[in-house]
Amino acid sequence: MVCVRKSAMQWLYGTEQPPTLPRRVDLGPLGFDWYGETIRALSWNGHELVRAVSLVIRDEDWGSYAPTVVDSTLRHGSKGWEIEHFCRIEDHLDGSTLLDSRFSVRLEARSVVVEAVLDARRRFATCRAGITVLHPLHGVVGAPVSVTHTDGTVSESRFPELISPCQPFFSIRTLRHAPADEIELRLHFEGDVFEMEDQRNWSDASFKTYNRPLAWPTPYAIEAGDRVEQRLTIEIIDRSTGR
Amino acid sequence: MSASLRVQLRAADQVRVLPSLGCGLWLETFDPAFATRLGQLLRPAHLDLLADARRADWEARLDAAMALCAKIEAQAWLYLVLPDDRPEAVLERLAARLDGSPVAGLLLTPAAYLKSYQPDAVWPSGPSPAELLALGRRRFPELALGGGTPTYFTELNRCRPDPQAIDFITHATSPIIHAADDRSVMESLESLAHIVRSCRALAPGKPYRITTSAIGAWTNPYGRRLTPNDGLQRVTLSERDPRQRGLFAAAWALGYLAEISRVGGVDALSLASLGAPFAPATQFHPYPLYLVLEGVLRGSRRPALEIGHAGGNRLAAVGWHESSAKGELWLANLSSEPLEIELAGARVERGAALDLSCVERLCADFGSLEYGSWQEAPTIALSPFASLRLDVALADRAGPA
Repeated sequence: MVCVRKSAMQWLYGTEQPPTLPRRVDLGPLGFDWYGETIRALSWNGHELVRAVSLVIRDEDWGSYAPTVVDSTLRHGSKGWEIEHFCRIEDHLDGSTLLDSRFSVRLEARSVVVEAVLDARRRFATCRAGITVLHPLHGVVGAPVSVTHTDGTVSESRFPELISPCQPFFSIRTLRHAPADEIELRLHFEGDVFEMEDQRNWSDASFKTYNRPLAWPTPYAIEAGDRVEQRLTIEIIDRSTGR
Repeated sequence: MSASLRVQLRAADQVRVLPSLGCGLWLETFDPAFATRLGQLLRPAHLDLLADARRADWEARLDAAMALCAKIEAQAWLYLVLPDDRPEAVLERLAARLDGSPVAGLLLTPAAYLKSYQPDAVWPSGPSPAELLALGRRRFPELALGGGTPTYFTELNRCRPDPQAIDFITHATSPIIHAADDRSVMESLESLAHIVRSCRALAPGKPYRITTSAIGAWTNPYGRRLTPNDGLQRVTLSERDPRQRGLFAAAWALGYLAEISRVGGVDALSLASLGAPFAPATQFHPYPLYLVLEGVLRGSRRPALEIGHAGGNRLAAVGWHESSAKGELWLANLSSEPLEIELAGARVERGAALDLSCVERLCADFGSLEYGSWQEAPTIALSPFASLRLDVALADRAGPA
């Protein structure tokens, strides 16, 4: 029998594939961990406000694609940090390009703007392609939330305490809630119809706001040449100063 | 830079016991010789047998699995998937198999319910879990019959059993349905308290069994297939996650058990399987997960140590009383950063680490995480994803009342 010594990476993770490590991006009390097409642990003075914002591209069986990074930049602009991250999504089988994506993040003193642009190069079948926000559990479970719907109506509600089998909120345009004392968060969604799922069902430690209602048929197609554009604007309001 | 955390062993007002701790067994794929060997070494208190009656050889496989359970003295809990057509015929054949070798409990799942449906969607037209339960009740009036699913909490939450009609409630979890990066997988442990509380509310007072859960997904209720994986990729919805072979899975399993123990209310828990898809070993050598299971399965139904710590999602701590003054404590670093632990309320008498410095030696053969010499120090160091077994002397009032 040939004995091959395993590497430290293999003993830790069972694979030589290294874990993805983040780069911390901070601007005063506000900051996040940056991983390519995801930002995580958006926090204010160390208190987690948003667990993650990602560009998620699923295949027709809800499997994920591993995007190929084409270009990625982080630079300090006049008001804060700017990230631009370009990727290519390739077919699982033949490796041909299905779509090109741009994920951009702008971090300013009291706001984060995330944009996703997808350009389909071929007819592309997917269960979901767009911006997904994960809300943490601490400070959120059972807490009040104000939901502005796409038709402009506002519901004053609460995040579920026990795990909800169905989506707690539909047709979301804007969410307002207070994940930390003194901090009010406003999340404004554009570019598709968004709704929220109680991800604790699947043992994820989060609620998830995602594009395209689950009641619509899946998989669905993005036609060759079509462009998808979505935007999330997160505003942090310090309730002690009202700013 | 390592973070410093304090772990406090406390006196308990009420002594709680750890759940019955077992493993899963997939009837389609298990190798009786290997599973028997693993079972004899690990001594799980129970085995959750997952069988699919749509397979031609399921009865012979069930006989072999029941023989295995008898040999290793593990309770057998049968999770049987039934064809949507003529399930009564399967129950008749099952009765013949169980005559003389009864199972401890039985969950009947219509094959169509291995898929997930939104609560307001069109549900399968065949028999529902409730209808199979009623059929099972007529055929097996003496047997404990469950409600729930062999898949994930979602499917249970969307198809809730009548709590009055069931003898136990059950589901599994998988941490790689939506995300498969290391951070998300460890963060998933934070959701377990919510799942337990929500599941308890669905069937108050009924025994609650979390069936075989591991870093992996054995089936995909949301699509046609699992994600193809050569066993080296961290991908969602895969039954071949590489971390199962690493220290990562050992720490994750301790994190799972620690959280279930902390929250309470779970009567049985199955981690890993004796064979595919979630084996803790190959035929030739164990994975780190094996060494943790070999230790903690001995804690099945033992009085739990009351442990407090502010380690959040970075540290797992779980243990049980060996006597009023002694306990066995297991710690795991759930992060990729080193940790320093200060232990209060107890003194370490002996210890054994499972970390990068010794994992190769320890995984050379099917042994135990044996205590070695222990250097007394003010703090205990835990390297990334390390697990630690500690023999502790409890301070006054830390023992069971």
